[in-house]
Amino acid sequence: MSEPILEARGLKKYYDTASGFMDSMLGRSNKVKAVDDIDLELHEGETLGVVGESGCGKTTLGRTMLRLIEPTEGSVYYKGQDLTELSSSELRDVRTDIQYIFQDPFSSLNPRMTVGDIIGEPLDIHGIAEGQERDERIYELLETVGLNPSHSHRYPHEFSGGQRQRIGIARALAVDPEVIICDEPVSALDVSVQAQILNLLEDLQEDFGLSYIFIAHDLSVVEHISDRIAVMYLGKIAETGTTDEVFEPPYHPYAEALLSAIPEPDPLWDGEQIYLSGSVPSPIDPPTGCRFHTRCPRVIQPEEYNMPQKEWRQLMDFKQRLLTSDSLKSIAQVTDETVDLDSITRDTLDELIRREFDLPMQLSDMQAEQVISQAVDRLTEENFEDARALVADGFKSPCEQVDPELQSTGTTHRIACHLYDDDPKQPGATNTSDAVADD
Amino acid sequence: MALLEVEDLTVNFYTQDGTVNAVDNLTYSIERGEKFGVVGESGAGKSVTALSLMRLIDSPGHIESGEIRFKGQDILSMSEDEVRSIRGNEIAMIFQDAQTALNPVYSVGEQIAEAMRHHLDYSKSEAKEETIDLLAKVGIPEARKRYSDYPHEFSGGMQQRAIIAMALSCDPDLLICDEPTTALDVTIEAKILEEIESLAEEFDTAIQLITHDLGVIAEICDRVMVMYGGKPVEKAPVEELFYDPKHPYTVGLMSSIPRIGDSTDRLQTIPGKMPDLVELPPGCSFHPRCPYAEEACTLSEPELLDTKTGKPASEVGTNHSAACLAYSGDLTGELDYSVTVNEDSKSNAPASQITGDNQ
Repeated sequence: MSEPILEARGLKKYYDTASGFMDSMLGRSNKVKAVDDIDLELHEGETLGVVGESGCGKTTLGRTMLRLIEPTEGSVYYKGQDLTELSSSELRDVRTDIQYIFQDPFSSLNPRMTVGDIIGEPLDIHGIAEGQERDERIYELLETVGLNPSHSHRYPHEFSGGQRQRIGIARALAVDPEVIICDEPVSALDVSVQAQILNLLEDLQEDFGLSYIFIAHDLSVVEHISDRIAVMYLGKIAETGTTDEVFEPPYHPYAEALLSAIPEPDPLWDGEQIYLSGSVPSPIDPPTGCRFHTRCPRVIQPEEYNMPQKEWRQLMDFKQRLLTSDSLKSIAQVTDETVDLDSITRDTLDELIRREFDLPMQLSDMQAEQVISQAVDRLTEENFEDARALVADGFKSPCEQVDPELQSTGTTHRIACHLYDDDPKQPGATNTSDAVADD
Repeated sequence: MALLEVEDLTVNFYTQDGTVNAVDNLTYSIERGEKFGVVGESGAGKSVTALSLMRLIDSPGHIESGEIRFKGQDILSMSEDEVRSIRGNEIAMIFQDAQTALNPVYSVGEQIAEAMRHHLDYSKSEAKEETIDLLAKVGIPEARKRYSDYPHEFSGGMQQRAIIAMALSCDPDLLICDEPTTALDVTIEAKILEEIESLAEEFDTAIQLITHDLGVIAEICDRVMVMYGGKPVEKAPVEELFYDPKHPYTVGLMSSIPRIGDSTDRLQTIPGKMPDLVELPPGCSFHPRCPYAEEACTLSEPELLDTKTGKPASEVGTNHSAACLAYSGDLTGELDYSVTVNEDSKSNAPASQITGDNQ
């Protein structure tokens, strides 16, 4: 493939959580790793979809690529030119080539400006057109995006959501850009209007040879419009490849879960859905190793164990809960009032814990059974420290130790997951049939 | 007798720009334990319908006429006290935005327990134990510990679960879910939907699910009503609606969603936009966007007709009806579309295709 038109190398954006001078002086601040070391390439004329759940950093990624937000580290190259090195006036010149379409068609247009002025503003700023020529260009742009040129004297509030999104697109097109970063351009729109806008974006791409970075959370929209897709999780790219590659096995377990979760518009559809356990961890203190291991249904077992994948997943859940709690109350679910946690017997506690985490009374692996029963012994004595040490040591997945690199699983397909490590000794890799976890 | 019967409900909003006819002559019913879906785009009158059921329409809105019978009693003629004893107790609601539905200055557990103390006369400790039980049931881990947490300490998915727990707390007979998962991520959406479905089964609760997402409808509902411009345009069992849609709007809606595994370049669209509810077009309100519209459509407004016999749905008992003149024989042309079921792709969801020249 040709040289990429836009390229991110080792791009990072960390936010500071310090909420003021005192916090930062006392060192009470943490770093939110919104975008953490991302490499991305966009080729000419293609659409690169970026998907992920809320909080995964996809909007931050889009904005740092245009330097609407200053990146903490890393570089963005546009046709070989490093955008992070540019002065603000040089950057302004480059912005005639890279434009941005915002998610919210209601807050991204100035309510006090007429539509003509909104679209004309980039023409003024970059000195592209004046007077008669400027007006003509505005009419032409309005027509391009399917609006009536006679509407250029109206204000944004006089338009519907879909029409406003068209105005936003016309504004981006005004400077005749090469690349447009579209941040959730259709998520605020009704389905019938959404289809119109998606078609418009595709027509414009064909007519003007545009390249898009298309950020969205809706996988079916991304699948429809993208040539290539990058799946993000907690500031990192989990899987990237052409649309077909991402939507076909081999999958990153996270991408697989995302795909299975889309509600299918078919009442007779009876596919298996993968439910992820827990919720998205905080990006302030992301999990060690693979960031997805705390929820991954296919989290890898240590070599010495051999048990059904589901059981292992539940054990990992138990371990995570134990590591973050310091009272029995939060480990064992007590809904029955008669049970008093202060004077609980070992056996009742054992039962309560296993019920809470859906574990059998006897684990399928003897060695693991030993660890858990010793941990329960310690818990009965309310010795949390030892119990935590026991499970931390006993239930250690390779996934939490090493951060997986993006591995090639095809010419353009790359997945960041230990299941696809070259090292074939991983037992989890063969265990896909019972990898469907629920919680 | 159906659990809920809505008859000729009309709701207007009186604004400076004119009277907005948000819901117009709406009739439907929900049986006990049934899962009833209401689909439509924004402005179709879905939420106003739901709020009317609880008599929560505020000025400038006004319930103009009609009857809403819940277990045979007319909600609209009840006193405020009587309505209050039903609200949250026998009819509960799950709102789209959990964050604003929870009171930020009370702990989550307290808010749920409050409803039980009020409606079911539980003592303080009974209500608390029951609440913890419920929180655990809707899938909140460490329920006892989370009881005294405040809403901001919950994630979006957890907040929605708390709302579900609150809605189920008094064992309602009807649960109204207004876009319950629209604000959530897909992986969480899948879990919440499953939760709602299994809990409704366990408690034998009827559900009225309002959404714009046809995927959600397909997953949960038994029967569906499609709304457009404040009116129902099609009512059908869910399978018939997806495999044999009868109203051009339903067809347009289905063909405009992108589908996974579908390689077509362009999406079918419904041209134009939702009509302004202040000035609805004359005749069928969908005719300016309808590919099959004829002159007759601009003149007379179709009522819901049985799609087989063409008789008014209000006169004959039918389970599939559509409000289109095609079924009364007033159109000269035919509704020229076909439904294709894609066998080889990953999803074999039915996709309706508008064919013919009048597109």
